[in-house]
Amino acid sequence: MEDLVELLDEGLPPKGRPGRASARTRAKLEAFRDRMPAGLHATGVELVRSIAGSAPVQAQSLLEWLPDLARILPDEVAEEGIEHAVRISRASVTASYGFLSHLLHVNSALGTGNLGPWVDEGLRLLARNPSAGRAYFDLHSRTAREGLKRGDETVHLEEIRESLRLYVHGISGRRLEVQSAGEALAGFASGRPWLFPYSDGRGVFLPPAVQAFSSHHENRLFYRILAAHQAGYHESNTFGFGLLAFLERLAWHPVLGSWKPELQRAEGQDDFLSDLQVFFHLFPRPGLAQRIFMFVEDGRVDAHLRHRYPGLEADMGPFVEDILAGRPALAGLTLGASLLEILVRISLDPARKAEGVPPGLVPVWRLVADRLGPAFAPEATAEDAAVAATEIYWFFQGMMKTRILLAGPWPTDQTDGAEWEYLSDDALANATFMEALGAELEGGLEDDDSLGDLDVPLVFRGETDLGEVQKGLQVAEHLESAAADDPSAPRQVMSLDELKKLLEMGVEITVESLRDEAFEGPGLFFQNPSQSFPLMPQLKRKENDGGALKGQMLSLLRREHRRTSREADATIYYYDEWDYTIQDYRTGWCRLLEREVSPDGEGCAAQVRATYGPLIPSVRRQFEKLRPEEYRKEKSLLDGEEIDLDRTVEHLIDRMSGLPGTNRLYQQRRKVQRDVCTVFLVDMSSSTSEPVCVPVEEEGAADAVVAGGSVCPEPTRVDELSRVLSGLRTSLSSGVQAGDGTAGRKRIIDVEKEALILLAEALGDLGDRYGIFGFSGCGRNQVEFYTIKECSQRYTNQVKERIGAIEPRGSTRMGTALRHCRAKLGKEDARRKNLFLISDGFPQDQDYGYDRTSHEYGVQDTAQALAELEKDGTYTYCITVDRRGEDYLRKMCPESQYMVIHDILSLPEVLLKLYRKVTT
Amino acid sequence: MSPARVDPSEKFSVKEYAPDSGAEEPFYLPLGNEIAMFEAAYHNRLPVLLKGPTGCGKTRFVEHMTYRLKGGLGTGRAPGEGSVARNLEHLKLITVACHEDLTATDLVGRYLIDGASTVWADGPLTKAVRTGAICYLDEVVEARKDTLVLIHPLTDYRRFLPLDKKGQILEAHPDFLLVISYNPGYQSVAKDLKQSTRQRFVTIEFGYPPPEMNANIVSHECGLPPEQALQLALLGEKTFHLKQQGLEEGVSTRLLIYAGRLILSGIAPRLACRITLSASVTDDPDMNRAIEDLVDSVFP
Repeated sequence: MEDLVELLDEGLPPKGRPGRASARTRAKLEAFRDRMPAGLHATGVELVRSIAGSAPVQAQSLLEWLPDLARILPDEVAEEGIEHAVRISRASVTASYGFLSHLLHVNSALGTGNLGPWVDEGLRLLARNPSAGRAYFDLHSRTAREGLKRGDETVHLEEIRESLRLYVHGISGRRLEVQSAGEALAGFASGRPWLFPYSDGRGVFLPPAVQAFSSHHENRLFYRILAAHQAGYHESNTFGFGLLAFLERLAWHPVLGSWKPELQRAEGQDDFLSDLQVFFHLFPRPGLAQRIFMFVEDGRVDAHLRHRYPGLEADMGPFVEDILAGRPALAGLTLGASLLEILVRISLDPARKAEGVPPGLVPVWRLVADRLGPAFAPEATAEDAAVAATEIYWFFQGMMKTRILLAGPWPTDQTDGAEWEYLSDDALANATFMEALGAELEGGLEDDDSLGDLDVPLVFRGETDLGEVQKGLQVAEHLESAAADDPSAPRQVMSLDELKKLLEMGVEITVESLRDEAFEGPGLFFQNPSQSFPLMPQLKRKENDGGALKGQMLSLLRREHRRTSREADATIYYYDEWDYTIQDYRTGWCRLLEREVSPDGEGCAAQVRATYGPLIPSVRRQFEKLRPEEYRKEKSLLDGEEIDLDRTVEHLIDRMSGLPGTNRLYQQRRKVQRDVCTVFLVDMSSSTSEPVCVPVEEEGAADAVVAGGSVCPEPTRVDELSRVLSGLRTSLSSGVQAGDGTAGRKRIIDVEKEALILLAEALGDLGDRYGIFGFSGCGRNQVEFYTIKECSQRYTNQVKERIGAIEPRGSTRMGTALRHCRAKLGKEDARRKNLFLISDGFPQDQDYGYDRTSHEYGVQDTAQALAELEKDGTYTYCITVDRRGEDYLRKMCPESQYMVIHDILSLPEVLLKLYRKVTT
Repeated sequence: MSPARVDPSEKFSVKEYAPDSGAEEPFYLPLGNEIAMFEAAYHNRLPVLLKGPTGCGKTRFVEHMTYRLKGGLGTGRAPGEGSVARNLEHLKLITVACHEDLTATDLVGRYLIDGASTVWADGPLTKAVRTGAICYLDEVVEARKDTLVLIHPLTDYRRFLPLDKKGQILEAHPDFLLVISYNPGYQSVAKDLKQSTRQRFVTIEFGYPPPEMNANIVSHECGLPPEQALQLALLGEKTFHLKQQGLEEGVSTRLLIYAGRLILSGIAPRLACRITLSASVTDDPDMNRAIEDLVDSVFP
C-alpha cells in the first residue's frame, strides 16, 4: 500500500514513468485524476493521502467513488464536504471515511450551508469519546440521527421501514425486505456507498433518507413511489418473462419474424443465465438491448401501476413532471443519446405530446410512441415490452448503421421495406430529416458510450438488474421443484449451445422444437460450455446417466442459490443495540434472521424417552398438579346456569315472612385458567459442542451443582417433585457413563436438548403457553434466530424433531436475540410472562464491541436487553453452565435472577424446578 | 334420564330469536356449488359445518339458504332418495353467536324462579329443535367444551336433544337442521374443533371471493358504481397479502361494503377506507400506515 502513498507524495508521475507502484493502483489514480472535478483535485488528493496512511483499503475504495460523489454534489458542497473530511481525518480516519460515505445523505438532510455545526458537534464528540465520535459520523448512533432530524420535513427510512415493507408486500404479494441502500450488505454493494433504489428479488433497497421536497408528507410520498415501482416489477410480473413466449411472439411478427437472432457468447458470466439475460444476448449489442428493454419495461411497470392505482397515479404526477422538466434538451445531444432520451421521455409520460422536440426528431418520437403503445396497455406483459424493445432496438440500430430508415440489418431480400408497418407516411415524408442528422451518426451508439445523464438511473426507477433478479428467482424455483421430489427436476435447463443451434434453424422452428421438448414457461439456460449438459429429453431416456447429471446440475443450482439468496427462507428484523462506550443506542444496528429449524432431528425424543424411561410419566403427573381446578362455582348471582338452592330457600322463607328477599338466586361455574406464557431462549453457539464433564462429586448433586446468586428452588423442602426430579440426573449421568466410545460423548447442546424435551413432555397437558427458540450469530448483520416452537404451537412430533435438530453454530449475540424475544412476547396476551435464557458462556460475537478481548460490550448490551424485558413486566431468568458465569451474570441481572450450574447434567432437573417455581 | 319424550308438534314461538326480516331475498353470490351442497345436505338432514374467515359471507349464506329452502326461490333440486319432502314455508333461522361464557344451559334452557315457583325457559337450541328451525351456531369453537358435547346426539342418526334438567329427551322436529360455523384462521390451539365434533358435519369451505366477484357483491350490497367497487375489491385483495405479516385476517367483504356505503354518503374515499379498513383490522401503527398507503395508492 506504500505505493499509493508514494505515488501521492510524488504528485502522480506522468504516464509510463517506472515506479514501484502497481499498475492497478497507478491506473486507479490516473482515473481519479481524470474524473475528479479540477477545482477539487488538490483537496481530494490531500484527503486520500491522509486516509491512505492508516486505512489503505478505504483509501483505495475512496479513489474509486470520490470523483462520483464530487460530481453528484453541487461544487461548493463537495468542496466544503471534502474540507470537513480532511479535518475529521486528523482526529480519526475511519470517522472521516464514514462521514464521506454519508455526505450525500447528511447534506440533503441538513440542507446546504448547515454542514459546519453538525460536523463540529461530531468533532467535539470525537475528542471526548472516540468511539462515540465514530458512531456519530457513521450515522450509527441515535444522537447523530436526532441531529439530522432538525429539519422536520426529512423522512428517514428507519422510521417507516416496517410500514413500507408491509406496503411493498401488499402490492407485490411477496415478502420483500426493505433495506437502506446506503447500508447494503458488503458483497452486494457495488462499491458506492450511496445507491439508487433497486431490488434484488429478496429485498427492496431505498435511500436512507429523503429530504428532496419541502414537506414531510411529500418526502414520505416519494418513498412510497420508490417502493411502489420496485414492488411493481413483481406485481406486473416482469420476472415471469419467458423466452419461449417471446420467441413465439417474434415468429408471428410481420417484420421481425424473419430475423434470425444469433446468441452472443457472454464471457465471464456465471453458470446460469435467466430468460431475460438470454434475451439480451440475442442482440449483437446486449448492453444496448438491456438498456432499451429497461426503459420500455420501466415504462410498462409505471403504466401498469398508474392504471391499477389511480391514487398512485395522482401522487406520481408532480414527481414525473419534475423529472421531465429536468431532462436535458434534445437539441444538444448526440443522435444515439437523443434517441434514448426520446424513449425515456415517452416511457415517463406516454400521453405526452412531442413538444419542444426538434422538428427532425418528431417522426422518431411518433414512431417510438407508436411502438410503445401496445407495451403500455393495461394488460401488456413483459413479452410485449420485449417485442417493443426489439422493434425499437432495430429501429435505432437501423438509423445508426445505415442512415436510412427503411433498411433493417437482416437480409433485405427477405424483408420488403413495405412490410415495415410502423413506417408511417409521416416518417417517409420526413425522410430528409435523416440526411440532416447524418453528420452525427458516425458517433453511433456503443455499449460503453458515455450517455451523459442517461448513465444515471432515473431516481424513482432506480437501477434494478432485472436479468439478475430473474435468475435468482428461477434458481430458487428450480431448487424448490427439486426439493419437492419432482422427478423431472431440475427441468427446463438447457445449454446455450443447444439454444444457439436451435436458433440457427430459425425462430419458428425453435419455438416448435422447444415446445416438443416440453420446455414450457420460464426456463433456465445453462451457459458454461465446458460443463454443458445434453438436453433434458436425453436425460430422461438414459436414466442412469441422468441421475449423475442431475446431481451435478443440482449442486450447481444450489451453489448459485446460495450465492443469490443466502437468506431467502429467513424473515429479517432490525434491532437497536446498546453501546456502553457511547452511552447510546446504535439504531437499527443488528440484523436478525429468523428461520424455522428444519425438523430433521428424528430420534432425539425417542432417545430421551429411552434414557429417562419411566420417570417421564411421573414428572408429568407432578406438573399436572399445577393445573388449577377447571371450574369454580360462583354463587348468589343475578343470572346463571343453575338455581342456587340455598339462596332460593332463603329467598322463599323471606318472602313468606313478608320480607323482600333477594334476586341473587343463581349459580354459575366459571372457568379458571393459568395464564402464563414463557419463552425459552437457548444458546446455540459453537461452544455448546464441548463435551460434558461429569464432576467428581456425585452425592448431593442437586445442591452442589448450583452456585451463584440464586438458590436452587426449594432446596431443603424435599417434596415429591424434587424427589422425582432428582431421579433425572441419576438417569442422565448413568447415560453419559454407560455410553460406549462409539456413541461419542454427550455435548452440552445434547443436554440442553434433553432438558427441553423433558420440559416439553412435562408441560404436556398443563396447557401453559411456551415457546422455544435458539440463537447464534456471525456478526451484527447475521444474528441467527431459530424458531423451534412458537408459543401458540402445540408440542407435536415436528417440534420434537426440531429440538433434535438443534446444532451448535456461530457465536453468541445475546442482546439482539433477547430483543427479538421481547417483540415476540409483546404479541402474547398473558398475565404473566417469563423468559429463561439458557447459555453456556458470556455474550460474544465477532463485532460485539471494538475490543475483541473484552466482553464488556456484550455484557452491557445483554444487561440492557434484559432490563428492557423487565420494563415490559417480563420476568427474566438466566441459567448458565459456564463455571465462570458468576463474573458476568452479576453485572447482567439481579442476584435472584440467575443461576450458575456447575454440573450440566442437572440442567433438566433445575430447569423443571425453576419453571415450577417461577410460574406458580 | 327419564324416557319421557316431548311431542315436538307443540307450538312455540321463535320470534325472539328469529326476527322476521320480511320477504326480501338475502343477496348471496355463490362462488362455487355451495348452494347445491347445502340443499342436498338439508334434504338429507345432514348437519353442516361452514368453515371460513370472518366476513366472507357465512351468516349471509345461511340466511340465503333458509330463504331459498322456504321456497322463496324454489329449491331448485328435488329431495334425494330417502329424504323427506315437506312444506318448508315456515322454516326459520335461529342464530346464536357463541362466546366463551356460553354454556350448555344457555343453549338448552333453564329453570327460572317466578315468585314461589319455577318456570322452564327454553334456550334457542331447544326452540329450534322443537319448532323445526335451522339453528346456526356462529363461531362455535368459542363456546365452552360442554356445549359441543351437547350437540353430539343432535348431529347423528339419533337427532334428539337431552334436557337433563327436565329429565327429558327432546326429539328433533323433522325440519330441524344444525349449522355451525368455524374460523380456522385465528383460533388458538386450545380452541380447535375436536375430531369427534368435526366428523359429524358436512363441511362447506368458504374463502374470500376473487376481486371481480367481491366487486360485484360490494356493488350490489351498497350500490357503489362497479368501477369504484372494483377498486375497493382490489384493495381487499392487497390486504390479503399482509396476512401472516401481523394481520390476522385480510379486509373482509363486509368491511368493504361498509367503506362503499360511506363513500356513497359523500365521505371522501381515502377517508372512508381509513376509518373502515385500516383502523378496523389492526392496531399496529406500522400495519395501519401500510394499509393507509395502500388506500392512498388505490384512491386518488
